[in-house]
Amino acid sequence: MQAFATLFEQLDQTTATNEKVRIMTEFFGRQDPDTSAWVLFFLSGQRPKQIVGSTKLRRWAQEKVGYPDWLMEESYAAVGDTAELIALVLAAGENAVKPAPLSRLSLGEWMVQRILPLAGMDDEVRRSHILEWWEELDTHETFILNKLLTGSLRVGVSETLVYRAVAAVCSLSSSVIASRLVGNWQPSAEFFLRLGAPAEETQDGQRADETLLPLPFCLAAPIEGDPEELGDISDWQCEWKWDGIRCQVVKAGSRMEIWSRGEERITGSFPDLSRLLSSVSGDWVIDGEIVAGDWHRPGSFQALQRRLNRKRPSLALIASSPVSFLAYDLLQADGRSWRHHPLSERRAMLERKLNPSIGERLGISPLLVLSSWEQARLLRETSRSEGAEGLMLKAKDSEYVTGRKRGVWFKWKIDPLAIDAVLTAAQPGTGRRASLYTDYTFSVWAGESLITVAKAYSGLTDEEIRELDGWIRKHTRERFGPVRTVEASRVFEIGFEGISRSDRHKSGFALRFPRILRERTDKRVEDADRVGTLETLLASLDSPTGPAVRARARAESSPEQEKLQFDLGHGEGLHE
Amino acid sequence: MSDLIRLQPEGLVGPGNRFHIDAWGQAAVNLITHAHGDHARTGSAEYWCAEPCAPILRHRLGPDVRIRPVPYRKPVRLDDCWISFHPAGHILGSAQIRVEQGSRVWIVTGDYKRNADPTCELFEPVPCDTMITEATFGLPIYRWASTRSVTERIVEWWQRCREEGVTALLFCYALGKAQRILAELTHFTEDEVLLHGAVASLTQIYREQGVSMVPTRLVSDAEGPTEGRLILAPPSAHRSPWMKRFRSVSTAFASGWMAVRGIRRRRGYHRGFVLSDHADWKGLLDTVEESRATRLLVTHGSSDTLARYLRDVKGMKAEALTTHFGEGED
Repeated sequence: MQAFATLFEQLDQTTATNEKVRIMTEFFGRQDPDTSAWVLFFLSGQRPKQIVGSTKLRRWAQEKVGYPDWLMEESYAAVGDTAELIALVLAAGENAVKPAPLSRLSLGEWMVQRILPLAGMDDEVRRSHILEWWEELDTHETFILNKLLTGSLRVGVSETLVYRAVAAVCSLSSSVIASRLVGNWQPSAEFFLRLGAPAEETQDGQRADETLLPLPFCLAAPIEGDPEELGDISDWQCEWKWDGIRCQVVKAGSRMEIWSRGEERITGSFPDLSRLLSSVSGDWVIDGEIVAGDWHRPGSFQALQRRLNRKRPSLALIASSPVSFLAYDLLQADGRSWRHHPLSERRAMLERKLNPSIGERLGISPLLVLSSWEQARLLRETSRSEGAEGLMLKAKDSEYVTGRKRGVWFKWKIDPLAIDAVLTAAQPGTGRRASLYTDYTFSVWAGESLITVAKAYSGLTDEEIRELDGWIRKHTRERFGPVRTVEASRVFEIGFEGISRSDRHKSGFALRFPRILRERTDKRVEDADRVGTLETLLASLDSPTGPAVRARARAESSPEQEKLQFDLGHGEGLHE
Repeated sequence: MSDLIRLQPEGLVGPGNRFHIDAWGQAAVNLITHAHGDHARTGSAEYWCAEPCAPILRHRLGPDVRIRPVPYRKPVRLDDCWISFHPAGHILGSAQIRVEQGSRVWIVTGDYKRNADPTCELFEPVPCDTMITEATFGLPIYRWASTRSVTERIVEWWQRCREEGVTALLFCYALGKAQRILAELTHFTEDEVLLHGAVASLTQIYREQGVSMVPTRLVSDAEGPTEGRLILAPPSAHRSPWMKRFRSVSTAFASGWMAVRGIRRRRGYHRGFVLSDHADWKGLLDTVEESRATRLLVTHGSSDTLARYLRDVKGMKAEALTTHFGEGED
């Protein structure tokens, strides 16, 4: 446990990928195979089911220290993470004692002998065990234990980095390691030793080993200025810009993996798509997007996130939140690389490969036939009602390049909807933004009073956040736990993707993806928008299949979920 | 009976407006708890402070300012009040200010910590009826580890930087924290540490007062490459053009705020060392108890939280006081 806690801390302290690989390589080189197997289990993003809910765990800690609710709330606002809050509160109490005999159990022993057996026990027994363990561990180890118990341990390394580290220790290639880690596996010393066994020479094994990793993604740059600068529109392949999860599907023989843009393996979250894509014949690498619902008219990104957040979705969830795959590009087919062929050839090849399998849940991103940039402009304006967030423009003669190279792929997103609203309240954020007022509440006028219309968490620079944090502290009017209401004097332009009616919101409207576009220092509070503006906006956008309907799904989710979804939606890697 | 010390727009003020304490506006007589910028401001006719604070205050406020140094614990008469300065353990020369009038005794703690610090006298509890206490870390999540164990981690990190051939750039407050680290390092090494200019001048003042620290030198006077060397610099230098002179660096920040992972990650330093010159939660509660004060006024940081805790949980008379003493410092 101690070794793992130290490893976690070291990985947490660096952002350099080479440094992360070095730390992991050193760790695996030093540890026994059993510990290595368990660490690998967690580093590669697997985790056992939640053993104890975080609310329950927090309550047990609270009972132990005897603090009132409000004090736990205030403390949570400063820490922004339940597992860490508990660890800190236990260590900082007036009667806290330093752990006496440190637990020397390894991570594997902790999991097998202690944590996993809790699942079958009743609450009273679980509680007494956990209270005992808390006394054995130091603050950082307690934090890790809490993360393990609540099933919320996340280590900041991508799977491919983990493979590189293990590969270095075993003197094997990353792809061999990756292929041996496919699917479900139980961490054990035997497993780790088998993982490091020399690569087999058999023809079959070799082929599968070499081909299951994704290739570097080609990324789109935003259009700046007029599209006319790109030249003749006939040189460009136009598609909708879909709002989903960009991914690569890699198939070799009977095996297949789906990789997100952040090079995380997401195969397990989409067994329905895996089955479907397995039916496409041959070995290949296809670039595409997972979208919500029917690919002819995709649903919102929120609907997708219900799926993405599950490592193993239930059949019920798959049925209630169906997804489709929209193919963009073909990178490899039957042992041959297509990346250096022009897009027009790749597209033709993609269609030939996929056409026989196309169906309700599997499609090829449709080409938009346009004869002028003016026509493109008009079409782009209709993106919202198509379930898209703009247009994609790809040079027909371009190769599939690595990264965001200018001049190859462009994204031409629609401008967000926007209103001017007044900052009326704030509360501290979580994680990286703990103890800093970064969760803002914005209001618009309804008669003579301001009513809440949206909460926004993003859009400001670090410097702007710091300035606003200081201002909020000095201009607080009232405090309700961690929430502070502030003087109504600052106006911000709030951008959003959709609007719908909602009974849950005071203003009667729910905004989708609200974020801060800029501060309107040129506007006085009186100049902020009125609730009537939203009414007008909604009326102008309303179509039965328009954004209003999709936005409703968001309005129905809980506030906590909303926030999680928002964070994920703008997280790295998953969502182009 | 009116309060002995009241809050005015220009700061805390004593009976008959005869003196202020750490005034942020102008004062005739300004009693200073310590020389940090948010407590010692320019504009007053005369400054009183604890003896070891005077040279630092002079350095901060300029040569023409009138300063009256008062030895620790020595009562001085000011009209019908007795004033005395008592060690607060925050930085060199830091003091709690005791004000006695008739049967009443008030304490203004200024900033303080309860951990030992080789650069200044240890905090001394002073009995009083009313205490105005700071609460920078007034949440039950802060508990400081021993300074020795933190210094050990700093030394390990420095050693690691040496092995990897990178410059170890440690950011910390230029007054107090930097010298405390330099003094703690004497337990581990005699190696020279390089200093940013802002740290160097204050370190010199500490040396002149006999504080024992590892050898130091200005970064600009360093001979040879800085790789493998430890450099102390103020937080304002982080990501400033000053940093461009170093080829490869590992950055770290020594502060009580580094206790929270989210803040550590947000600030963007490679490493965070939890080292504070303020009292932790237990330190605050112990101090309140040892003072035997029956009424508490709480300033700084989590003042509302600590005041409410003392009221609701400890059943004491306590309220928050809104001052201009810095939030976010340390």
